[in-house]
Amino acid sequence: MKKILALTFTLATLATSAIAGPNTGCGLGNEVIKNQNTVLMQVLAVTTNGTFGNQTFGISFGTLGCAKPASWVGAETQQFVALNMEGLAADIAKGQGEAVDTLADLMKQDRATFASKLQSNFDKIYTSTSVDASAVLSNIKAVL
Amino acid sequence: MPALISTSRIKSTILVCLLACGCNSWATPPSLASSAARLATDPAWRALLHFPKGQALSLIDDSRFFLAPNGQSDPQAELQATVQALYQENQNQAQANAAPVVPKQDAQLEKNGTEADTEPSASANNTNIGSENDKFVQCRYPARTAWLKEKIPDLAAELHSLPCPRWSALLQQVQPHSATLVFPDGYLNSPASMFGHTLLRIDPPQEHALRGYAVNYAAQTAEENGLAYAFNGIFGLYKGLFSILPYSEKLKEYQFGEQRDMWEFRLNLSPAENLRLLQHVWELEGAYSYYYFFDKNCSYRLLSLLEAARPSLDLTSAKGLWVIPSDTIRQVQEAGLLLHTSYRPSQAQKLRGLEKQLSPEDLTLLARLGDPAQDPANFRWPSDTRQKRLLLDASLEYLQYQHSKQNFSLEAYRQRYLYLLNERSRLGKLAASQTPTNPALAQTDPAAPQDPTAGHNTTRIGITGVSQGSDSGYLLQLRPAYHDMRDRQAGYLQGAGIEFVSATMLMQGQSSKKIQLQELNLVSIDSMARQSALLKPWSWNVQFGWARLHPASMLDSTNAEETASPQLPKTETNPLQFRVIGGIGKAYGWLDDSLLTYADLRAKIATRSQWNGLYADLGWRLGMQHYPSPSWSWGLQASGWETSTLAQSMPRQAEFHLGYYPSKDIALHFKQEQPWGRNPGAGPSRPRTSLGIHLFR
Repeated sequence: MKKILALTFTLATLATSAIAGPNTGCGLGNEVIKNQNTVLMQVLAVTTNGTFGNQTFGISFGTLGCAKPASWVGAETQQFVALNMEGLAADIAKGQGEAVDTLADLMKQDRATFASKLQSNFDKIYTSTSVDASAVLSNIKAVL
Repeated sequence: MPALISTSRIKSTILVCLLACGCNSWATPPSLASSAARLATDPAWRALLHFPKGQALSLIDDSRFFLAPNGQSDPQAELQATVQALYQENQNQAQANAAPVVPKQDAQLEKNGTEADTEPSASANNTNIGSENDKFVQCRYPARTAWLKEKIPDLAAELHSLPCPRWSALLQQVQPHSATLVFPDGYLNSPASMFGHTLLRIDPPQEHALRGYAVNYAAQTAEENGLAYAFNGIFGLYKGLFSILPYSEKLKEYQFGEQRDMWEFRLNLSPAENLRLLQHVWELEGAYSYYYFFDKNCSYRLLSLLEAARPSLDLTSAKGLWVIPSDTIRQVQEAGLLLHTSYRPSQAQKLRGLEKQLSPEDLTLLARLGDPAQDPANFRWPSDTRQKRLLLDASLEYLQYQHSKQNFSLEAYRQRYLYLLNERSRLGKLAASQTPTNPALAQTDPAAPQDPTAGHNTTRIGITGVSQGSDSGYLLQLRPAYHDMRDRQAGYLQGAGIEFVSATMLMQGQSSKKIQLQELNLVSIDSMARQSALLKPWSWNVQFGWARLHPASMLDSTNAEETASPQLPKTETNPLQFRVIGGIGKAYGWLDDSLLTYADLRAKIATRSQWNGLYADLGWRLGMQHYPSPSWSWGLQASGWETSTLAQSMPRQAEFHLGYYPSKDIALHFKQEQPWGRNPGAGPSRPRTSLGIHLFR
């Protein structure tokens, strides 16, 4: 009997899921927080619809721990870049996408020209793996 | 607190003196006296307090949300208390430097009327909700204030606008212009998510989704223990709170971390209504209400916000015993709120789409591109630029997917990511004819699956005629929620079956009206995650509840002659067992995912009959299910239990199933069940034919 139970629970201890942690920095990518939830716990956790995210209210600009924004760019643009580092980098590399279009609108640039110019200057914008939102914006400005 | 009491006594004396002097400092505006009762019944006021239409109790449980001590059950008292408080602090401010009114700190204060709290310690304590900076009632309750000023001209004339730094900052940041209802679907291998979730998104005037702010209601759970989750979630022992945070954060959580597809339903709320929505959400900061998984959950609570934005809506009063997220979306659609729909595939879904366009050589290279340990110098790229672009786009997704599985360090991830981006940046744009890179596909895009409003309703009622040899009867079926692989598939997560409290009764015999419970499955979850070149999840299933030992059987006019199974007393040929079953296996998709094949190994622990001892069993299941069109499906399945002595005296099962779906909420079913192998004539199992109809409401 014990063996059967052990087997059952072994079968149940399957899925582990990992979730990306909150964006604690302004760089490319986040540390991943591994979330060890056995299937058994998942079945029982269905009742709360699984909320693991941090709960915040009324985020104000500048709480992301990023370097102080350049004076020429609004706080919102700074926050946008900081929160969308990977998506924006991917869009710029591809020459199109939702993030780069949003940035073009924020900076009051023509979308097509903006995306195209940034794509051809990708390596001047994302100069290293440690580049952060402020650096990206400064580099974009230099390229425009 | 003696000091407080003496202060109150002093104030009471002052109050008496002031009234004796005929001063009007404490009186409410004259126009209120006659209209308070009428205004308190206004749907707009009731909506701001979360009173569903026709109900006497607010849905909000936190007493700190209310200014009147009986505010939770008396909208009029709450209205009067709010007006009083607004008026009061206005007078105080006019006299300069008085402390703001601190609502509902102390019942004693309230009993004496809304007296300004001049105790510095209380106001510095920050025990009020939202009390960090903006202590004024005007600032804490901007929606109430705006509405009251609109309805009470005297009040509007009297009130000066007070500085509300924190509220103003939020308003400036969020810029409410339009609103979207967002539905992150469940994802396989996570039953915790399988009903999906709903949240709102508030967008600025240019309607960039990535600049929007999510409004989300969730239970505040500290535990890791699954049993505690279940118990607390069902019985309302968690406090639920609203939160506002950047939508892009939520996107990352759902699309990358949890691999969930998302639908975004643009709502036709006007900018003024969206302003009221945001004002009201602000009022709810820190105000908890108990989270009940079945009914007062995330989706239900959002409906209160929509009512606050547009008080003519009545979405909350008709709540039944349970509220399912996809039902609320259909409800919002029926209320005429939906404008248009967008679909955001999860990263896993994008990968599935991309990998279909890659050759086997490309896929091999892709696996290496997604592994930072592999040296880029050894990569041999496809010569075709278009193919190379696709490969790189896929590799970016794949690398992120691998990173979310925590297979390598952040720095290794960044280096490889940057390398891939650099390579990609030299190749220009994808042609329009290739896979679109805009993540939000319009619902009209053929690549977008159907959204939940196209899905069948969640309660299923069925009546099925069954025939077995010379016996015939009817099965009556009731399933309150949710969906399985033999239902019409549109609008539901592919491969996910989840059933709650599914009951089947057998009625048999024209003359002898016998009725018997065949099955009561408390929970049944089937997670058929399809394998692909890149993604190789397990598929699994869990169910527990009561079922007959011989599932495909009738009542026993013939059974009396049969030899009962040697493990059971003679009188119980087909007992109702309580059993827990778990299985694990693999599933595959073919023919552009219209054909599903699955195989799993299963373990069972069951009672022999009623509660007479336990036994364990190992078994298997093998099957296929084909969905040639949205209107019909068919499938074959074989299963058996192998190891227990009880099982070995019974045949295995095979079945053929055919489903036809003339409309969203009607389904016709045909099933042929066939015992086979090992003593096919033993016990009550016989070939059984069923034909029935399911209705969804």
